[in-house]
Formats: sequence, structure tokens, C-alpha cells
Amino acid sequence: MPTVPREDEVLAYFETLSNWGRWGADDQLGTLNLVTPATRREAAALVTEGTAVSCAWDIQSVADPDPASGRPMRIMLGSGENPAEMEPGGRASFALDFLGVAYHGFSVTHLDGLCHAFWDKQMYNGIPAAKVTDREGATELSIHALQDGVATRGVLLDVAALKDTAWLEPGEAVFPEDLEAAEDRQGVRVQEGDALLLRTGWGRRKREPKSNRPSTAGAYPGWHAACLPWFRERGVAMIGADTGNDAYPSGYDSLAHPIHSIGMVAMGLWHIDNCDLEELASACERLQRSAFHFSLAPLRWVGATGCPVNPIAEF
Amino acid sequence: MPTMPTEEEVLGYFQTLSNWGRWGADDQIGALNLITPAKRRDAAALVSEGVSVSCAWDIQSAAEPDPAYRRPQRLMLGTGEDLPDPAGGTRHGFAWEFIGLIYHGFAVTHLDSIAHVFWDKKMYNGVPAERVTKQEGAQDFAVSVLKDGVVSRGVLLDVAAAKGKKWLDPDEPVYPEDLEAAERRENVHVSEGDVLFLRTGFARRRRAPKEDRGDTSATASWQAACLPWLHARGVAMIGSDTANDVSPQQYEGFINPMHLVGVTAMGLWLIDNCDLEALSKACEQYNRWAFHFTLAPLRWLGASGCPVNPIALF
Repeated sequence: MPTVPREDEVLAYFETLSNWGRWGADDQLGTLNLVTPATRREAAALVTEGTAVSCAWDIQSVADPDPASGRPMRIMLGSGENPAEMEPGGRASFALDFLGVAYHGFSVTHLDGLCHAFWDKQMYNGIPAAKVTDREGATELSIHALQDGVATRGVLLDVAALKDTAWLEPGEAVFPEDLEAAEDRQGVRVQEGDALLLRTGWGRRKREPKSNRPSTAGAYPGWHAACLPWFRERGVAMIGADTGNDAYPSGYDSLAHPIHSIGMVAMGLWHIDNCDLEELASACERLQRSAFHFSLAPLRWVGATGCPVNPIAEF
Repeated sequence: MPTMPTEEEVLGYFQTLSNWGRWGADDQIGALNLITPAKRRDAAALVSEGVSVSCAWDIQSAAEPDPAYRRPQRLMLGTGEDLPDPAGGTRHGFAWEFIGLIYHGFAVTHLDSIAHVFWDKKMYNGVPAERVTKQEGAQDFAVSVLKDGVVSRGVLLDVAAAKGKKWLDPDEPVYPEDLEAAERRENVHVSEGDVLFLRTGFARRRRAPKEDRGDTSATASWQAACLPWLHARGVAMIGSDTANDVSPQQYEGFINPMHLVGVTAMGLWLIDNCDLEALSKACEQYNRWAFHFTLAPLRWLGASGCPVNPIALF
């Protein structure tokens, strides 16, 4: 049985796991400082098949709206139905669209910038929350810090497969004991600089007909707060999951989202929420390996607290 | 001196350079079919420094608006201003926002999907333009067909540097002869499956003071004569620090031949408005102009393109 930390122990992680000052007072990268040129070179050496696999969901303007933030919008300004005759010969025209989305929530695959989470009116490295303003957006810790993208080793830990279940139950939390059992099963060891992806099978559940997936009233599987010290010890640079990362409810009255709150604010740990890891899991099974070259190319949107992304695993 | 092809010759490219049917009637990815697993493996072997470089501009809500399509919008829905006093028991908080933009145009670094361009009411492979509707968007050739991203060898041909200029003048379009001169200078040969970037220095011009940069709606770029060259070399995707067509227009009967012939006849994907200044410096520093290239377009169903951050890895 896993050891469940008490609430006061989890609250103490804000101190004991803190990376404040570790990479300087002006640091904007947090745990991504753990990715080095050597890490990237080693990751590139994992490309032996020459195949790429996405870890994202499609962005759909006609799907069920996100419970928190509604539907992505695609407004066609030019289509092929009544093509405007734009040039002298009248033979050419162009499709044109506006794309807009409130990507935070539980549907769109997205990156959380370190400015997404506040605790006691502060962000990572002790930066005041007030640095995220209505007018300028995030003037510190925005996703813009990742302008050159993320390239490192990615590792998938398939806890659904470990537990031999189609998907973990709503609210089911994953503990370090599960992560280590998954490592043993898969013959991989998470190391410093890794982008670590957790499969709970929720991508599979989301594809089931509605009758097979009753409403969970906001409950999701995900990492238990007990994973936070484990991330720090292993030097994980970034986490992602096929849910919103936090197991919800968290089991703690004063901490609804310990992975977000402690991970981002204390540790500077970047999150990718709502991945689709089904194809990645199939690729890992087929190729009998769980480590790959991982790349992420966030939009260089100044002031944004995150953005929709398409994380790519290369084998 | 290179000769500019006549209007009739360029119109002839719709037939002579056509890739319609080449990869089957149902093909969705056009020239990207030229990228093979072996090409990707070779590209990964180019990562010897472990350094990555973006080829995109910042997306700014506060910058000068795009002349055609205005400003990207960032609507903050939750900020760090006016948070409740933590002593009241709510210690956590989150920032979030809506972001939206019209990315086509001349400012934002973006991918043009094959669904962006119509000629005689048709798209690549003869698919009717009507497949792009107001309601559903692009039902063929949307940007989401590249769901697993683009990974290949990237090559930068720095024509501005080859000509010893800060930037090319608007009346100085780029011909195959210029591309080959850049190849010789860089000791690189563009080959099948490459993602090819053209640097005209326009990004440097965009950054220059107003009196130096002049009218930025006028730019050099690929002259239409490059189309047969790109076809012959098997280029899978092109990008440049311009919108990939010469402006002002050089022909009377049509605009934007790189878009029209490239996209509709050849199924060539375009990345418009790159910033290639940092990439150019990295290439000079490492003394090589070929690198591992990745593009991870948003999987936006129905979209005719999307803003992107193309990444070169050395």
C-alpha cells in the first residue's frame, strides 16, 4: 500500500521542494533548466525508426464544449463556397479563418506556463502574482520563455497498462510506488531532464460512447501529491498526462490542485494537460521501448499563460 | 542574368509541375509525402550540438497590427490582480485567458495548409473548393492532416548573405541561380524531402527604423522561376522571412504564383513570415546550413493553417 502524506506534510512541500533561487532570481525556465545540450543530443540518438507520433487531441469547434471554458472557435472569413474574386483574372481565391480558444480546462491539449498558478499571491521564484495583469497578460513566467521550444528525452509511464485496466477510475490517484512498478514493467528509469508522461487510459475513456462513461462530477485520475518529492528527486523537467495532471479530488481540504500549486509555484515544474496518449502507448508497445525524442514548440505568444500544443514523440 | 518566365510559362506550370494523382486520389499531404523514415533518421543524426533555435516571430497583441488582418487578441479571464486575501482561506489562484487571431497575412509566422488556396475553384489534387465551407471549414487538406507534425532535414539558403547584403531589395526577386549560388557558398545540396528556408533578410528589415526599412509591403521573395527548381529537387515544404511571394505583383493575370502553383498544383506547404535571423546566426556559428527540423501544427480541425513555431535543432 502506498504511503499517503498528511495535509501538513504536503503543505510543507512548498518549502522542502522549493526551487526558488536555484537557477537565479531572474529565472523564467524552472525545471526546464534541467534539460542540457547533452540531454538533447542523447534524446536525438533515440530516433532510430524515423516515425513521429502526436500526443495531442484534435481541436474541435463542433465537439462537446469544455465544461470550464467552452468551445474552440473557428470563424471562416473566406471559404470555397462563394470564393471572392480577389485578383484580376478572377481565377484565384483563398480560404481564411480566425482561430480562438480559451485553452485552459479539461479538453484542449495545452501547456501551462509557470504564471498559470498562484499561491499566497505569488508565483514561482517568489514573483508577485500581480505581474499577471489584465492589460499586459503575464509580464513574467509566460510561455514565451520557451521560445526555442523544448527538446529532450520523453518517457511514457503507462499506469493503466500496469494495473491491467482500460482506465483508472475517476479520482484514482497515482503514487510513486505505481511509477516505480511501471518503470520495472517497462524496463525504463526516469532521469534528470526527462519530460514524463503519465497514461491513465483517460484518452481511451474519452472515446467511449457516452453511455459507457457516466459523468464523473469533476473527478479525474492523475498524479497524487506524493509524486511531487519523487519528481524532484528524479529531476523531472516537465510532466504531462491524459488528464489535467492533478488527481481530483485531491484528498486535501486546503489544496485542491497540489500538483499545479506546488509543482508550478514551488518547483517551477511545467505541465502539459489533457494529452492523448493512446497512439503513443501503442507505439511504445510495438517498438518495445518507453523512451523517445520529445519535442514541444509552444506558440511565441507574448503574455500568454499557456497555449494549445501538439507534443511530438519521435522514435 | 536570369530571365523572368512569361505569364504564359507560369500558367504552364499548373500542368508541368502538377502532382495531382501522384500520391493517390485521396492524398491529403502533397509534397510532404517526399519525407521518408530514412530522411527523418538522417535528420536526427544532425543533432550534434544539442541546441534549438526558433524560426518564428513573437505573437504580440501590442505590436503594429498586420496590415491585412489586424492584431492578435489576448483576453485575460483570470489574472493576479485583485486576488482574495490568502488569510481568508483561499490561497490558490489561476491565470487564464482566451487567445484568438487571424494568422494569415504578413505579420504572424504561420503555416498555410493546402486548403488555403483555390485556383479555378479547385484545390490540390482537383478537390473542389466547395469542400471548404463556412460551417465545417476545410473538410480536406486542413492543417489537422499533419497531426503527427513534420520532422525532416531543414536547410537554410541565405541568399541575402550570398549576395553580401543586409536584405534583398524589393526589386530583387530570388531565382534558381541565386539558390544555387547560396548552395555553393554553404556547401549544401537541397535534396528530396528537405524543408527549405529562404532568407532574404526581410526580418532584419522589419526590425530596422522606419526610415531605413521603407515600405514593408514591398518585398523580394521566390520568383516563380523557383517552382520548377523546387519540383525538380523534391522539396517537401518551403518557408521564408517573407510571405513567400514577390510583392508588388510581377504578373497581370494572377497574383502570388508561389501560392497558386505551389499549393494547388504541387501540394507544397508554405510557412509564411518566419524570423530567420537567429537561425542564420546559428548556421554561421556552426558553419552548417542543414539541421533537424520540426514543426508541430495545432491539430485544429477545419483550419486553413495555424500560427506555428518552427524549430531547428543543431
